[in-house]
Amino acid sequence: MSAPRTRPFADLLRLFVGPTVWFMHLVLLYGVEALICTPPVGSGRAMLWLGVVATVAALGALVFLAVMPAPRAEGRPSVHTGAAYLHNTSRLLAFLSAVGVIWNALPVALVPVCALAAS
Amino acid sequence: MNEPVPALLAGHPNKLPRPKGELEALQAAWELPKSWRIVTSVNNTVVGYFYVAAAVLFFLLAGILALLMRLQLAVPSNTFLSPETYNQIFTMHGTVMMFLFAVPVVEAMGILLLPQMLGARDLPFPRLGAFAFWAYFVGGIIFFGTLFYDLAPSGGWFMYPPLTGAQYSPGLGADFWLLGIGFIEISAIAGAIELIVGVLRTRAPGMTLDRMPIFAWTMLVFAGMIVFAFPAVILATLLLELERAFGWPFFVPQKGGDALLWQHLFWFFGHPEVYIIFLPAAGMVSMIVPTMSRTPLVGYRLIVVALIATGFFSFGLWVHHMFATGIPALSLNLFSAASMAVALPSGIQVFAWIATIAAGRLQLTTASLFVLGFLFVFTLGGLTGVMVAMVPFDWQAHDTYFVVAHFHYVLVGGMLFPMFGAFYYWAPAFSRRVLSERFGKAAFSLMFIGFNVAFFPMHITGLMGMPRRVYTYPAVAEWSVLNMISTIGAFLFASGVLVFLFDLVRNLRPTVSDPIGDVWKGASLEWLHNHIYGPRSIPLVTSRDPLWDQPGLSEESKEGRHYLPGTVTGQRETIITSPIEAMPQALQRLPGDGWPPLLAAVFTAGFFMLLTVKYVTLAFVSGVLALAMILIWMWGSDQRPLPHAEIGHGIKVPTYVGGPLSHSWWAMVVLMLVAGSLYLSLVFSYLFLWTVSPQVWPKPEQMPPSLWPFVSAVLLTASSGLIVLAGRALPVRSRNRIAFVAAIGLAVLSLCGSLGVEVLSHWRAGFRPDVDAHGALVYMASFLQLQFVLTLVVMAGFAIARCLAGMLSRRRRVVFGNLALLWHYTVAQGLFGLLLVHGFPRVA
Amino acid sequence: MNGILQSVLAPHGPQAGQIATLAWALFAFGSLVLGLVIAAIWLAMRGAPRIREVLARERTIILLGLALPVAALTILLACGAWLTRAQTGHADEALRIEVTGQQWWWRVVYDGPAPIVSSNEIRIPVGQPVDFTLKAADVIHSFWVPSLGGKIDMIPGRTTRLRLTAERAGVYRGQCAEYCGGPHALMSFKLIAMPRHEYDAWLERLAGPQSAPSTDNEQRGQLLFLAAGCGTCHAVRGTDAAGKIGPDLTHFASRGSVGIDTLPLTAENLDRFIRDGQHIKPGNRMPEFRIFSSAEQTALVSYLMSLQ
Repeated sequence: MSAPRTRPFADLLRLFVGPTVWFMHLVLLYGVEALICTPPVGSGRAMLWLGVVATVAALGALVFLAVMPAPRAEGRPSVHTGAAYLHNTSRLLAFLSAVGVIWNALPVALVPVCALAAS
Repeated sequence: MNEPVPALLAGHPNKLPRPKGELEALQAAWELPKSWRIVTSVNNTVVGYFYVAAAVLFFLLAGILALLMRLQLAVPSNTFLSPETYNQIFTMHGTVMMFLFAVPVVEAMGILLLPQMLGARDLPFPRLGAFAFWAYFVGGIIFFGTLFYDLAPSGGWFMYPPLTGAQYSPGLGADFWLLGIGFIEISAIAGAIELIVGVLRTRAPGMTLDRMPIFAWTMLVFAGMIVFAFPAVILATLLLELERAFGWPFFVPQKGGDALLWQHLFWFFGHPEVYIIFLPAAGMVSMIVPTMSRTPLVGYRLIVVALIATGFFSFGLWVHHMFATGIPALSLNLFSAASMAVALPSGIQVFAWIATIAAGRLQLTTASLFVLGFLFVFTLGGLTGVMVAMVPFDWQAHDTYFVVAHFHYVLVGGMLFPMFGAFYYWAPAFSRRVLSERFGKAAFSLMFIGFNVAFFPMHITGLMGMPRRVYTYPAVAEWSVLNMISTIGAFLFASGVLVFLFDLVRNLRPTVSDPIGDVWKGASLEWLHNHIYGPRSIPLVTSRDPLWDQPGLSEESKEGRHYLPGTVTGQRETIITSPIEAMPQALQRLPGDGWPPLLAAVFTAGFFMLLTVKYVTLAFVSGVLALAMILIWMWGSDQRPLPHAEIGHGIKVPTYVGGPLSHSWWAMVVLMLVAGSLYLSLVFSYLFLWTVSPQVWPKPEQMPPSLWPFVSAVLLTASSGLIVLAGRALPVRSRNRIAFVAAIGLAVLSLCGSLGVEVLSHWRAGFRPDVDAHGALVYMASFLQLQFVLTLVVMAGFAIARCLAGMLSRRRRVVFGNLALLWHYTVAQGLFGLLLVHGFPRVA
Repeated sequence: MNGILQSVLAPHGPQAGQIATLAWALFAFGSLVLGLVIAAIWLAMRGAPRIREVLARERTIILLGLALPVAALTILLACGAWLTRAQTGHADEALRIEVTGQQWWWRVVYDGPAPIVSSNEIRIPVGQPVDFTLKAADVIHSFWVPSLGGKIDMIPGRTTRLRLTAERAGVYRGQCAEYCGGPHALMSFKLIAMPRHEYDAWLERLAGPQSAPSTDNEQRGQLLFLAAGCGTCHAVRGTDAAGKIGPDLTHFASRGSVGIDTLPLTAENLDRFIRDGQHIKPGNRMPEFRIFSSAEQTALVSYLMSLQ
């Protein structure tokens, strides 16, 4: 059979990379604040630095995902295959995830670490 | 959107006339059981009917409960219902609507519609679908019945411990919830596996992922979300049931547990749940709008992105329900940000539908009206959703009637209205008569007005300070007026539903063979001339809107000029295609009708329910019977390889495939994802409770000596190695079975041994599951592992039996392939568990 | 009931005030967006061909469905973060009161040299921030006074905190906002904000010694109270009654209600509650006491009514 290239599992998985980066970024920030606040290890400064590093890393990964070249079918770029379509979709997902990552970073910049409704 | 087709698929339709007897053979293969034996049918259309009907029944029942609540709340200090009754009713209303209506009805629509929409003859695992339905139906009926015996749970559909723990809920109600709902969740997962594999592997040739109807995309995302979300709540129900039954203190603060652990696990399921319900409904809207506007969907690409993004983002919102639990403000705002992120995909979808309406001309049918109602109500619900996503606002709105209003706008608007639209839209595909437009419009008007009258005032009631889940309220002037208005609205809404029911009785004439068909002039394949076996021949799809862009397709398909116009093997069959490009890869023979799935479901339900009322012996008997039924059913699967089959156009495909080409490999992989997320939920619980109560964790010197986990790990690895060897020793023909049987036997011993060593190591170190949270979690890890080990022991015995019966060989090896996959997964999970429970306390 | 404040939209303190302002801003924002969507639907169905052609573009979807929400939600998110920040943090001059949620009443402990225990009624001075320390004795409850601010859950094994400030004197109704079983609906309380000097005087009186029963009837009532075992659940400071399951009754008669806000405090209502409590507050933990003769009942009531 001269089917177009078939790496279905990998192609499907790539769809998930962008949102997964966003999810890891969120869970990392949440987990680190939980650790910093109970029991107290680390400080607000550590949180801020971690926020910066994690956000830059996440955005870097998403940009990388977005600029990766589209798969080629039989040596030629093809827009008609499902694989190329998935690639395009994962790019857009990377963009949405980047918005999510930036929004995650916002509270790290604006809200002091471990603040409670009263203390 | 007509695209050139790959060379393989190019070719002319099958020639006419078709051979004599071809159609008759096809019909004979798909013949349905007669009269009441129809319950043994496993065909997706029949099961789909049952499924939708049962879900609608539960909707009506839960709706009646809602009316009872509204009666009680119509006036202040009412004594119509006692507090205990009211508490049971609101618990059951939420639970039944969520678990017995919303998720099942969506799954039911998937089972009913997907095969036709994808051009498949049936779903890939018909018996699994039937099992999922019967398990849900029997379990659901028993669960609902508890209301009449005063055994219903009263802890709220969210079941927060400690209120639902043994001390504060000593009765059986909570156990019914935990075991009943846990069981129904398993049925939902079974359905999800079926749908994922169905969407990815049984599409019509040429229907690449980017030509797939949006509804199929939503079902794919829906099922994928179930795979990751439901295990969290299954673990939670397991933990709480173990705490109630044996005192394993997962949620008891005095022993190192924490009530918030439940909330984390529950909402990690509970928030995605909202989108699990909403997405398929959005998919229905994406099907209805283009048809009614007579124009292709605008922004298909964007909508698919929106669907996947929603699926993911919704997993980052669970703390959104815990804004008032004293979590640090920074974290709250993180989840506030995630809640905003999930609003983006909804915005995209709403404007894509508006764009489609603008591109065409919207006919104002009943289905369209429900869609317009949906757009209004859902947008409003989304906006109040943005409001409660704001942390300070939520501190006020949380647990008030504002939230009740918000989520009813989201759920009724986002799911129920599209669902009713879908009933009107798709009825012609399954009924000899269309539903009445006149009654439909009346039903819509009453429901739309009633809904808004009932629920809009609740925003104000909540802001006026009225909390949720109260069986009565004092005579505050504003509260009384607003509540009375809500009650009137609720009855108005119910009258709309009544009109709909009347219409159903008058006009719905379900049929599997001669539905009235394509009255709306739709674009997707469910509007072909469909029968119980789907279309006569499975069409070659070259466009996103095949019935619009491929003129003559419907007639060609009906005449048998496309793929698989008859039955090659004389059995029920469907074409297996590749997941992305939908190239034909194999011919799958589908099982026929029979009792085992139904009986297996009944006995499984019996097992859980008898366990709940503590008839342990009977439960055990029921469990064994269920297992026997499953084994009988499995014995008939993995049929003997046959020669390659021609499906038309001169394309020959194998009738037997193994590994990633086979549909069962994909199902196994999905099952492993379910298992993996179940285990990750446990890992989360372990780490979470450690952050809360590090004092109950042992010091390194209290841990079992490292020799123990080492031995356990060696045994685990050895068992995996033995399975690899067994694979090599698979007999070519029927000789030489000894090596295979020996290898499997040793592997079983080794696997059981590893678990025994692990449990013994903790026991000897003095850890006990009922003493503290650490002990409970350590034994919980082994308990999960035990479930896999038991499954593998059964599967291994099954493989040995098949081998001895000459039904397992180097060529016919799917049974072994599945065993090996799950085996290696279990070993990996076991090794990870050893690393966690023995490693973590040493480094922490 | 009327005239008691329990509304998010009638704020009487800075915390509730900020949130009410936010709420109004959100309603305005929501109405605007809803209006936009309705207008777009209307134009898509009935608009001029040129407008419909614009609406049908993919670019419009991205502009209205993505770009606009990104901009608007970014602003909202920043506002939310800023407001959260304003509602959290340390306050030096805050008064501390500990409240414990129990099925289905509130234990209140005022901070002081010797902690003063009360229940179901909380008094605070006007104008001073009060930091509530919140605990739960059995299941999860939630402490909420809508007119003064947001709610925070009371969770067994954890301590949560909430700051409220009353700007004006008044009686604010609070209610348990987390479902806690049984008569959860009736688990309310009154928060009374009073001028500083009145509050100080009141607290001083509460801290002082308990007056002994003066009349014969009251003394008989006290004996009955102790003999019937009321002290197993209730405490009255200065007597052998030291139970902790039910509300502390030391200053019972100075509070305004019987059965936690279910009935106003009068001798008849108290009498009813002792005999018929399960009807007034179904499911509450106190069994109905019908063992007393009517004379005994009167004595018991008069004793309790003397606990100023």
